[in-house]
Amino acid sequence: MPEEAIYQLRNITYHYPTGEKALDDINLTVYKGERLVFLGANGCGKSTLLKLINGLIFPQQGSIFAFGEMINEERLSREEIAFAFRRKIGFVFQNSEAQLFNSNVWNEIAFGPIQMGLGREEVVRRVEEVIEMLELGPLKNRPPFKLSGGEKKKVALASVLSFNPDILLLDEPTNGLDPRTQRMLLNLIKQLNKAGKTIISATHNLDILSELSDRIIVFGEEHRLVAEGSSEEILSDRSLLIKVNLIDEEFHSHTHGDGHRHFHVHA
Amino acid sequence: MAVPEWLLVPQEQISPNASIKTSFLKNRLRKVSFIDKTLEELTTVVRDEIFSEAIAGRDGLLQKINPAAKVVSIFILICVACLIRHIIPLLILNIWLLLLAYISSIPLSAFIKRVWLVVPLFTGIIVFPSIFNFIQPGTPLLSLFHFSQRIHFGPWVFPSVLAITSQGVWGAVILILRAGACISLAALLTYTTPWQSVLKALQKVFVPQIFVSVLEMSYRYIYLFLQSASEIFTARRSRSLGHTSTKEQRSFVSGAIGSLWSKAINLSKEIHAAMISRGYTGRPDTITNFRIRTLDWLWILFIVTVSALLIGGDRIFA
Repeated sequence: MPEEAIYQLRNITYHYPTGEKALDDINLTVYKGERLVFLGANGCGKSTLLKLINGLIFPQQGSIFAFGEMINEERLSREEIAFAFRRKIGFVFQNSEAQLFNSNVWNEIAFGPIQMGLGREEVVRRVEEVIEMLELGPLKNRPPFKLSGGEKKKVALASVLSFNPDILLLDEPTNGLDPRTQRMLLNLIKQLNKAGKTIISATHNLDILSELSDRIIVFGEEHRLVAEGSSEEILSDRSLLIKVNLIDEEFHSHTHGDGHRHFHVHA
Repeated sequence: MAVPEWLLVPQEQISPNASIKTSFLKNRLRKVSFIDKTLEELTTVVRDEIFSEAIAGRDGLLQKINPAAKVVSIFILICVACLIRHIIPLLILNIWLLLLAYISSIPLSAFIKRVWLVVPLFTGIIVFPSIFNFIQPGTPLLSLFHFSQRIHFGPWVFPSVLAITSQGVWGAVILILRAGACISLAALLTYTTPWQSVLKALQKVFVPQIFVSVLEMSYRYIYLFLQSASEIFTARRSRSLGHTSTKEQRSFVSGAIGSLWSKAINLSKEIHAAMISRGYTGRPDTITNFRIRTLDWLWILFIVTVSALLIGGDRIFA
């Protein structure tokens, strides 16, 4: 694993405006080029952590260092710092409806590159190429409400890839995707990772862990980190998965010949 | 997880000795509530009128004109409609607009309904009082009522005859025709141009980008909210039986409004985060891809000529 740390989170605690705790004393380092997965049951704070990493919300306690520099509200309100920071990170939200705010697919994909100050020809070239890569051609003039759930997810991904971020944040990336699109997405993530991009995903889907991760960080329901390890280590620790409420006693797992381990229930 | 026992038993048949009381069911057709109907209609109208864009895709004259040129020409013609002061040129303008609608493959019945059902109603109500001599003195055209003497009402003095004045009627007709022409022009633009192109054209012409962006996002999310609202009603209909009291309905509607409101606030926060995440700094920017061709210049020239003729004609009538 490459050892250059790009993110350092120290003693992060975050409360929602209502006072409810979302993250409690999180310490974490993210290395360049790794595939990191935040694993946890619904409502454990994974999505909140992704938003903190993207500098969209800020912790009440603790500090975040990205690329060696401190990230906080005051610094990110300075345009040149925000600009340099944002162009490195792409965030695919869980709710595609929020991410697709433009009037059609083409404009959606062009929004990022235009905001990042790319020239007109470059924007057009990138948008067209991303459309071709993700097979979005027939949809490019469609408004978002005429897209299916899977198509929306693909467009959301395209809208982030078009400005070529170094770090991809994916919130429940395979939710609502049919098996073929899910396959395509996982292959694409693998390819992007090989090209040197850091992939940070949040999920509760155990089936995709081994493909999505080099390293897994497990969240407990008390909003703290409870374990860290490779997918093999985490998936073989049945009592851990039960403790964090991801599976119950009825689940058991097999390891297949290729080393892939998966959990299931017999009806 | 313990499943309650009653959930595992098939539903009881309804019979006179059954424990379920059915007396609350009245043997009558369930009326669809007013709000239900309104929402459904609203969704249909928005879908058909704003989003269908079927007519914009047809092969017609106005569809061939560049949206920016169209916006400019429609702006010119609206100015012309407001400057004309006589009935004949206004009538000619309106008939010419109908002709334009016809050669742009707009179904005339829909076009006329959209313009001439709305305009006389709304403009008509506004100008109605001005046709009477009590409001606007003038030459009586038709006397309606004779009073024995002039009427004193506080500081106002009214004539002894209530009459419709010729000035009032002409004024009202001119105003209605004028409003009709303006609405026809707006309808021509929106019928023959996809909404997105209208917005882009606005931005190209003179409207500030931030204003266009706000319109664009409203367009994008209005359908989502109509859909959410109508889903709330559908979900309720699938679970409700018999008649619900007005009070219950009221509390349901206010609840639905509240939940939509909080949904909207949450969504707007998420959208803002998504925009910031992709580098939005409060300066929206888009790429417009409009090329002005010879046809568009010819069109503008044509419109300027028509405008000159109409205004010139108006002066001749004077």
